[in-house]
Amino acid sequence: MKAKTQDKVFYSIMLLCSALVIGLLLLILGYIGYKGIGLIDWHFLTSDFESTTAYVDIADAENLGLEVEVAKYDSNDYIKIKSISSDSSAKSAICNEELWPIKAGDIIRKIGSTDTKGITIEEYNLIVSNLQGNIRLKVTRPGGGIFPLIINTFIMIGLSLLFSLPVSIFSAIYLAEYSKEGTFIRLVRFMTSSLAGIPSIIFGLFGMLIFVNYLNLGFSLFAGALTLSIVLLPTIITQTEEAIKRVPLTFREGSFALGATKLQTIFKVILPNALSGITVAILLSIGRIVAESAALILTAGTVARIPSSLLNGASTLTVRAYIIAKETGDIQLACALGIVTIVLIIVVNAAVGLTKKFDKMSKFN
Amino acid sequence: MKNKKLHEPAIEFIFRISSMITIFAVIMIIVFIISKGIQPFLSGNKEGTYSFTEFISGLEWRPNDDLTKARYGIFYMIVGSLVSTFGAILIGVPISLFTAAYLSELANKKLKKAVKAGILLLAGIPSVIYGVFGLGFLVPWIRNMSPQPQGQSLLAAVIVLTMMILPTMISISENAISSVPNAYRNASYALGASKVYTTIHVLIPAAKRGILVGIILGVGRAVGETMAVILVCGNTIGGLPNSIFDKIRPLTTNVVLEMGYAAGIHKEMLFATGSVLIAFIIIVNIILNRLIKKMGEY
Repeated sequence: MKAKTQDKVFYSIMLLCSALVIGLLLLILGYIGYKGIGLIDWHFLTSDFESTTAYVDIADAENLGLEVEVAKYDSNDYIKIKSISSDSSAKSAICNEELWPIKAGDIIRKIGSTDTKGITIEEYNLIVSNLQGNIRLKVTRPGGGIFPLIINTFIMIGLSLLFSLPVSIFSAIYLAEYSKEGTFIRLVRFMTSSLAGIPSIIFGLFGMLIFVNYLNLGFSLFAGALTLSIVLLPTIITQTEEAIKRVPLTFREGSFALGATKLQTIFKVILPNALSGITVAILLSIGRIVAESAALILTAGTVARIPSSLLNGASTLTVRAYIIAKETGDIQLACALGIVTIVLIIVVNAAVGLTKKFDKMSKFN
Repeated sequence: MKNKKLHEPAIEFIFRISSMITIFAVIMIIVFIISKGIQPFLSGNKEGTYSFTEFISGLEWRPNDDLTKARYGIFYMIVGSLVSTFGAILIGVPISLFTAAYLSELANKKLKKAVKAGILLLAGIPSVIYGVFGLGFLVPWIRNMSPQPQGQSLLAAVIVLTMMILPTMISISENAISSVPNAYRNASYALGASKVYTTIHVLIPAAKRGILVGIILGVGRAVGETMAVILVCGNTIGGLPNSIFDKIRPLTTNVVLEMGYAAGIHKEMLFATGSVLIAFIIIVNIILNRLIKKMGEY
């Protein structure tokens, strides 16, 4: 009887703890989702982070073809473009001798020298109907979106993997196919697991010292990606090595028996069969890069624009979420960024699950 | 064919060099950061020198261009890092242990799969997002019950850290418990023990090394965590925490907070802070390595 009560107590504690863990997960997902979802729409995902304002020249002012509405900008009423006809001259607007096509959603703040602050649609139509020949508009493209952050995150993923994948796969091949157990391998394994245990802030310090300062890359995509490529090494090496080891010995024997060399066996037999393991390694790396912030803030900077070159600074989604939370305290915007990153993580996790499910090698083990 | 065979040693050499990359990376990271961080304590440093004793035992962090007025003490940060980590482990270990035991032994397959997916997601959520959650949800909640005017506190840091180390500790412990050989279970059942009794009294003790590995990994993650804690810990400029409502400033946040604008000896001091953090991580890794080695002996 006593043992039964004890069982019940322990069982309840276990159930309670498990419920608590799931509760915490739901709490954080619920909070981030509830706070941030209001901001997420098409404009948020596709617009620039910062507003840009330009003076554009339009050659054929009779043919503007703009459908407009009155909208708030900077707490004043302005004329906002609802849609543009396909043959509109506004699509070939010029700013500083470069094409600056006007898009739906842009705000017209001045037509020639007339300020549009507070004017009505009728007044706008009157002004436009009197236009002839060349006209200069002051146009603001409102920011408030996260498109550059998404693009920066993807560039960072591509670049880091580009640097990290070859060397980590070679390393995994050596560990799995060439090395014999011994001091060297033990050392490599110890260092790989140590590297996995180093906090990202330390990678950030290192990247800043070496890539940003000594190699003089500045706070840039390039410096950030080089730093992340080191962060990714342990994940890719361990996953790939395991995948290679899962390829059955008979595959190698078959290949050797047909007269293939070791290299031919590795590249034509082993790697193709370890592909799903390598895919998992890549997916896990993507998850890690999406989540990374401490290492990037010290190496890639915090600029929320799509950089014109790899040597310019670029902030990813998480880095910007930190800057927003820390400097403006705008929890809503930070949560909206959180939703986007969490969705990315969920997609990555699902892809990992699918890859493992369809792993050809699983039937051999 | 002959030509192809000639390439083999060269490519094997490339593989071998690649396999050394992690050794190279770890050594470079440690050597470069420490060699930069040690500068302020060497006499003849061009940015000026500062006493190492004052650095390691100081209770105040006040960077100043004038070195006679500057205070670079990090003892209170070491305490902040250790206390918040200890708190997170204290709360996190029982929760993760019981959850792991439940998942491994008692939960049905479907539930187990769902909960494991949840834990995987919990592990994947970016640390900044934990910080945003802490800042938006926990901090106002703590502010309401705190005797202090702000909610950013040791308590907030501990809660956020606990949430962040749970996934690691649960999955490692779960692995350890479920890999206890079935003979243990069968022997225990044969003696008339129930499933719950077996789990608590047989399987958890049998899996204790694996569980310990999970805890040490949790310690490593908590000590090194930066971006979540920075938003909720208050980042005080000095003083030891007297209560859970006091602000703290762990080593990690010190680096990120000021690296953006630091120069001269101030910047070197941030690298010195990083070096102390590296020392902690090395200790954690050595303990971990010992543990795993010992596990191999069984």
